Amino acid sequence: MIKFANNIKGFYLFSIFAVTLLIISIFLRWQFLETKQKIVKTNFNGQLSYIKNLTYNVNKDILHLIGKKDMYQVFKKDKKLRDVTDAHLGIIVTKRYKYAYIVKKTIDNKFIFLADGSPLMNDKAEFGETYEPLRPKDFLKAYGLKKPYFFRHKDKTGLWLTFLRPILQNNKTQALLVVDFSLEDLNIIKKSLSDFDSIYENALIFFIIVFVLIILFSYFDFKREQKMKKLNDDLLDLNKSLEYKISREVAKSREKDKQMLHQSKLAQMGEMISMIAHQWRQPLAAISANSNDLMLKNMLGKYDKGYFDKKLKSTADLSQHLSKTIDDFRGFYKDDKEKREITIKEIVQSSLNIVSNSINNKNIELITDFKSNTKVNTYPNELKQVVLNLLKNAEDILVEKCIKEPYIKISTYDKGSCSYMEVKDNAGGIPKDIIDKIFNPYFSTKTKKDGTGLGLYMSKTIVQEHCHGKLEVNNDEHGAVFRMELTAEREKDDG
Amino acid sequence: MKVFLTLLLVFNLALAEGNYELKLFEKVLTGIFENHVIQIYVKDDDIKNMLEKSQIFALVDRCDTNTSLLVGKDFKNLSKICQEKPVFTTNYRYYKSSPNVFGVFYWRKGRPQLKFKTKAIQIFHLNLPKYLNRYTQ
Repeated sequence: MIKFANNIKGFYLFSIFAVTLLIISIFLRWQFLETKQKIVKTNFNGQLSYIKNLTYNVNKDILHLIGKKDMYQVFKKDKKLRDVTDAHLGIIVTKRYKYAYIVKKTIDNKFIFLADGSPLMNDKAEFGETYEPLRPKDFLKAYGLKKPYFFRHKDKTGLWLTFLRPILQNNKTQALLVVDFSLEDLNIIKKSLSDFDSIYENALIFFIIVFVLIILFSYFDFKREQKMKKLNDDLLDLNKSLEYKISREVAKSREKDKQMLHQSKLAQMGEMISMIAHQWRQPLAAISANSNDLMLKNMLGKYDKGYFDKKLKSTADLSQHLSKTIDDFRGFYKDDKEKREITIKEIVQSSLNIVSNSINNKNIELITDFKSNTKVNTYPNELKQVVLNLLKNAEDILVEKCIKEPYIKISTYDKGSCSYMEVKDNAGGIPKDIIDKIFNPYFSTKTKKDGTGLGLYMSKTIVQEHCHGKLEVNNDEHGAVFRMELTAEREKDDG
Repeated sequence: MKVFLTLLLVFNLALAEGNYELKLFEKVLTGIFENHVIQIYVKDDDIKNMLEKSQIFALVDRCDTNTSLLVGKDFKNLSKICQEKPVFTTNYRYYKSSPNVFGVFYWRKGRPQLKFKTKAIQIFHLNLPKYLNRYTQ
């Protein structure tokens, strides 16, 4: 939000800065054009002022020479005066002030030369030579105006300017003093300024284009930011709702797992009841036999204290055994959520205490090979359920397949930092087409008994997710091999 | 006045196009010789080079009886026949000094100048168009 606000602020600040720059540029250009005009005007006025002063002095000298006499007549008669005047005019003539001459208007509005300051003989006009100016109207106008007048030549270059000074006697124009001069210097200044102006103008146009592009870019960037912000907001909303959905689904999944575990436990409970019955049958029969025996002896009056003590002790031991069996089962189903250090052997042994009778009664040989003594920090009760599940599965398949000389081999061993437990049987193994599915929930192959399809799924969940171990299956030449791997150190770390 | 303006326009146009002199020669000489075939003997190379570009004039290498006009800066040692031919010059001094010269075109102070001698025009029985009357002396 702060970033977005900064973007808006930045965009407006930048826009103000760019507009200010543009205004300054336009103002500077306007100032430059004004200055250019001033320079050109000042230069032009300077040249004009110079020629005005120069021709004024020449005019004064000529008037001084001729006095009050008729100018034409004096010049006609006095060649020396003409030469002096020519020399006077010749002083004016330079590269810039190319021509300086005096012409007089005739009765028929034509002009004749009175004097010529040209140093070039082929361009030097004779006294009295008729002269055809290109703009006779301007010459006549100057005659009538009785004051200096100038006009610019309308040729391609526009370089030349003709300055006309009427020579007045008694407020009457006697002749025109004409000076043609070049504005080349002025044009050079103008051209240089125009070139500079052209560069400036191009730079200004370029700047305006860049300015417009930047403004457009900023505008679109601003819009893009807004759009992005909206998308981000949408994404955040989506994330929030997704988070909620995920947590809801996870909770559902946990609930489902819990239910499944419960379902699995209920299934195992049935098995347990059957096992307790099995466990209790023989001691109960023995207690019953002891009781009957003692009752019979008592009825017959054959009381033998030593015999009675022996039988009562035997009954007490059997009762103790029954009690211990109950404790074992209670401990097994105790919801113990605390980790503790235990060897895999102890876990297996504890499970065997419950299930061994059932297995032995089915003439299944139980082979144990305990080599692991490493303690792992784990949840013993949960792992006992796993071992029990694996043993019961082996028992069930051996019974179901009516395997001859059936056996279940339980082995534990250490390898590196890991402790392993393997449960093997000789039931022929798991078919290849289902071996990848046996850990899936609700997958069962049990036909004679009602399998829930949750035992192996729950076992894998307990080993992998609760105890951070591994539970894998493969077949060897005799049957299925379930391998449970627990990492001792990791368990310690976690604890 | 119209004629003057026309001429002035011609001057200016010609100046603008840089082909002024040839156009002026064509305008003046065709006016005077009333569009007859004008056989011109030109002495000077620069004038010859200019007039050669014209479709109107027929330039001749030698001055003889058929020659209508002589054009040049000045002519000295002309044959007797040629001495009687009208001359149009580009040299004001020659124009002033030679009686055979009936007209001149030259530059003075950067301005083109055109002048005709009334007397010479009469002698050679030339017909000066009205629009050129202004330039007679």
